[in-house]
Amino acid sequence: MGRIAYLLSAVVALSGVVVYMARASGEGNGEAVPIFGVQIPPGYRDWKLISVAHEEGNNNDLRAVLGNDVAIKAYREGKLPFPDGAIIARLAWSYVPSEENNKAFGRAQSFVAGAPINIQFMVKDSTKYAATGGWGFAQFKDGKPADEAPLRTCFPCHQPAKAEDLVFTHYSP
Amino acid sequence: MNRKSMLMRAGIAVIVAVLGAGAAISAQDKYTLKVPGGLAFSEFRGFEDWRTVAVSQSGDKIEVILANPVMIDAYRAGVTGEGKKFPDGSKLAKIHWIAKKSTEPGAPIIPDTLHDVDFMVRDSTRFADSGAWGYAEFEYDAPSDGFRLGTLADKPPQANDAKCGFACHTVVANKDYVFTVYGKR
Repeated sequence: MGRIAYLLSAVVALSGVVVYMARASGEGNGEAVPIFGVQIPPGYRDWKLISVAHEEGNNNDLRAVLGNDVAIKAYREGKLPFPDGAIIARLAWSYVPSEENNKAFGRAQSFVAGAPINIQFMVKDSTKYAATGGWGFAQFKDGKPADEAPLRTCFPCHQPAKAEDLVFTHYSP
Repeated sequence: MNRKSMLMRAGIAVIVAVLGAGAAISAQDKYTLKVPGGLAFSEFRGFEDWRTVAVSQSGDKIEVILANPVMIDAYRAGVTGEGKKFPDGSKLAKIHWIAKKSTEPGAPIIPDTLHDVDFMVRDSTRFADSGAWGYAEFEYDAPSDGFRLGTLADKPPQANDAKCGFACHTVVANKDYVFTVYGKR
């Protein structure tokens, strides 16, 4: 192998490692969703917990709702509307029974988070997203942004939570 | 205002003040709780800010599992599963809420009231006789907004010793006594 080819293969291998590491640690960015132009925020997997939920609908998921520091501060202080810069993340995993846990409980009652389904974000920017209540909406599956059609449904679906600045999730103490 | 109603008002004010102070004290007091011979609540100060490992649901409860930075780093480095061990200093917190059905669209199951918080800490010297892990369970008491030690009357029953979780967690002794797997994105 020539020196250049060797160097090239080293660089390719290294960049593969870098990409892999970035994915593994929950680093964000990459492709943006249509309409709102939101990218995956870096480090969102490390954000603090707002609440959890089990949705039995289409996804049948277990979900964690996390917030960046701006969002967590607003939640803890009970401040509405959320200030610009607040980002709320919703991580959904498949709802799977845990045989291991059931063994410990002595009966079938335990469900845990299985494979990831998708992640969603709400990004507050009252100027940029003035037409949708100040929120930009995003959804990603395996790092790939959702199409325009599902994103069009976000704002209308969140209308029932209008009194709470379009945010459904309450802070769980 | 006559004397009687004035007295009554003063009385009510005192009762309100006492109740208020009582609630504040018990909320503060959680850090004085300690499993006899075992873990103290104060060893987990700030757990509310820890990062999320995973979410689960069990019977009428929904729960989240949080871990301190030492343990999160270990999870990410792949310490989960057969034969792998977490480093000493790893701490895990599990928050149980009583679950309820939300009235919002999709009617998700969401946390209602706090039920209890459970902790595990790994210290192979201190907890050498219980698989290197110490366990604690603190039951939430809604009326006082405080906590108390878990007892044998609770579900699951917890004796007041440092080994309350050891028996159950032995099911996963091959995974360093930790049930919860890190939830991937």
